[in-house]
Amino acid sequence: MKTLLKKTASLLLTLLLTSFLVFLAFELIDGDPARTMLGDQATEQRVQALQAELGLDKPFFTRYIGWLGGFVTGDFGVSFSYRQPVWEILAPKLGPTAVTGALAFLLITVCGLPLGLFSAHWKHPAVLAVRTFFEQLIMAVPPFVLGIGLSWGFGVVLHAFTPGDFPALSEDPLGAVRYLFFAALALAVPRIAMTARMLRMSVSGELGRDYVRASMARGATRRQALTRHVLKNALPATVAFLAQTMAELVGSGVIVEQVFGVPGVGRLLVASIGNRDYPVVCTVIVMLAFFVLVSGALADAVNLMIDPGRRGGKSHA
Amino acid sequence: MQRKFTAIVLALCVLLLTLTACGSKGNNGTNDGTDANGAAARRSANELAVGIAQDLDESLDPHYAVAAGTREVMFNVFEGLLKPDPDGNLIPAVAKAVDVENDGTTVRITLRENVKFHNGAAVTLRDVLYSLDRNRDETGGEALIPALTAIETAETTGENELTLTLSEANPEFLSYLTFAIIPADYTEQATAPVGTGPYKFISRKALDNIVLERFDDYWGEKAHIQKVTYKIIENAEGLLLGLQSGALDLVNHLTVTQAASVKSEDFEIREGTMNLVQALYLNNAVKPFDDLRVRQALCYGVDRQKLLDLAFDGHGTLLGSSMYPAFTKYFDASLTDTYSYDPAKAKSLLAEAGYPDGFEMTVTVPSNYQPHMDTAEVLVDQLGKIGVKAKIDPVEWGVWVDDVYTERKFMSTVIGVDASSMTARAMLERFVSDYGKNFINYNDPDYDRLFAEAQKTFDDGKQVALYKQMEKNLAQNAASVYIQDLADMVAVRKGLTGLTFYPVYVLDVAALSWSGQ
Repeated sequence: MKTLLKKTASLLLTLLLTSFLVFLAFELIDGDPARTMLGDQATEQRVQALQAELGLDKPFFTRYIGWLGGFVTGDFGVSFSYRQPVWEILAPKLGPTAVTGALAFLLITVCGLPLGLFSAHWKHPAVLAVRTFFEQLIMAVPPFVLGIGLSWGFGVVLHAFTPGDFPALSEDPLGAVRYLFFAALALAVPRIAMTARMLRMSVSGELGRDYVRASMARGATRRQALTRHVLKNALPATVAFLAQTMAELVGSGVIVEQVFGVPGVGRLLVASIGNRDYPVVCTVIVMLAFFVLVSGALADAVNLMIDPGRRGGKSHA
Repeated sequence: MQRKFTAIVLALCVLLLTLTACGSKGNNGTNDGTDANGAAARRSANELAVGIAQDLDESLDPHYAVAAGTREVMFNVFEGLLKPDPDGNLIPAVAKAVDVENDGTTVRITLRENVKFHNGAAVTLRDVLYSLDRNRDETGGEALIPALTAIETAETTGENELTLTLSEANPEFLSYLTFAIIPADYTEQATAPVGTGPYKFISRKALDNIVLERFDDYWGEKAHIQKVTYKIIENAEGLLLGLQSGALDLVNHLTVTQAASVKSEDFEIREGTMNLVQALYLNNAVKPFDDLRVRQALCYGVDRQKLLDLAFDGHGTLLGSSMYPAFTKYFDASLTDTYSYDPAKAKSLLAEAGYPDGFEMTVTVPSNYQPHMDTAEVLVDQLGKIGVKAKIDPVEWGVWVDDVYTERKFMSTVIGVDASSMTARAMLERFVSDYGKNFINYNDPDYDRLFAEAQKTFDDGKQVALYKQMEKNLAQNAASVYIQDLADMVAVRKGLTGLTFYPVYVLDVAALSWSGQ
């Protein structure tokens, strides 16, 4: 109970710090929101009038405290660019991003883990060479290129979906999920290779250890040793890696969202940074930070479930 | 443990299989709604999907919206008393007639009858006055349209008549009467705009789409297409994929290379101009660009035709001053050849100015504008040949507006300058020495004098002559290295007709129609 309290407190503190740093970053970087919005035709008076309207003429701390006060009471403020409440803009973006992330994560675990486990058995040098070649190739392909390739292949040639015509999640959920499946594929493919490699390496590391030989000496087959003991020890590192992947998926979907034309959080974040629309940026970043922290905590919990003896981070065997 | 793991993997596999099966079933089931058939479905429903690279991420209030991309879309939603036609003339819109009397100091506006707002209300003189006052109000500093402050009185002189008295005559005054007429005291313009145009605004989803629908009570010839969806796809490859997949029917502002990749049996490529002056703008106040010989040397040192060939496949219109050809009345084609490519002359001018070995310079370019980046790269290469070591400093748009345009902390920049209204003044006033937006710090007493004189001249012919002299002044003083008006490549789905190019940055959707509809 005490640990839980402590963890929650540290989570809140981290979020607070994150929001402060984002706010500070906007203070430091070039580009005034009002001037960016009004563009090259604006007169100084109009810029000043807009600054006053947006509250930008107030001192830094007043603005930060004002924003924070709103945020904790559930008022995320009004977007500078769209003149709409931040939540109104952000809410419809959450669905597509969450679905894409979830599908990608599913693909990664379903394909990556078995691949990693089984490819650890492979011994033949030619097979290994082919494996390395494909692994490197897949990991090296930029998401942008992969996205265009997949859109072209599945969209334009095979007509499995219509790139650029994302159906709204609320109106055509099945169609939207089908569409997002391909975006998720573009996100997942490089990470499947990474996950497989990650698991394989920790499995291979464990396979050479004494306890494996001991187990096999007691009559267990190599396969039994692998699934009964090795996996248990090799998994925590992979789970941590997957947690990190989960966090990354939400943030790094920007390119894929852009190529596939998915109205998601990533695109909103990038556009809002460009517009210096910091009510939107701060809300999105704090939300992402929360998600990253929670996935980290989740990974710890999963690892604890796999091996309750690991409490305190001591390694097994 | 083993069993649990196998079970989990199996369960996930089943889930994935169901999902893909689901997907492929959906694919077979709704094939009419996807691929190029999506375009056929839109066509038979008399709908249109336009791909745009820039979101309308600002206030949609027509008097406050500033982005060219916003104006391009909202041109279909709003109208002024007058509006531009494709040839650059002003034609009556919400006004039935606008008459200029008393040597140009009295403007009599007769309101058109039966003009309705999208909310159903009839347009009254009160709405016109409200819209006018909003744009000329000076209480918050400078008026939204400074030229409208020339109005001394605006009085209702008849049931449908408004008379403006001007402090001084100006032949360009009428071009400012294109400001949007909006309903008086309506407070939701920023997010739910209401105008009088052939299309009414339906919805905006941030970074997703904007939907317009035909306004059936429009006073003039009604639009043909029932519903227009603008899809926001920031990524050029995404736009191209959208065309090929059937998601989009029309995309404009494509580069030459991009347009070449869509040429297929489904599309026609049309070429217009972007209506802007792309140049290597030089900060005339900093060394060495305060020296006329250095600026001229750069003009001689740039092979513009080769630049067009290299970066734009030969498309684009070469320019020699701050005016583009669509402004037929003011454009002087002879200025284009003020400087022909002559590297030897460039070098000798540099030596004369005290730079026999050239100098180093920075070209600040907003990195989100690929054509400007491409141009800058060719420029760097060409300038290298006359000994000028240029390097590109790519910056974000917001930073460009701040540093280059506002603070004027730059040496040179590649950018396209366009006109905010259909007047020569909009193109040329920005180089008057004490003008607030003279970002290149151009300072020539002759130029200032010509401008002041042009503002006082009511005779249209004489005023045009003065503006042309100003253009010549910019060219001869090598204010900047004028390059081109960029080609505007438009991909249009076959069967879609009526695409018209305007001298201003708009896409007239009301003129478009599907053949056979």
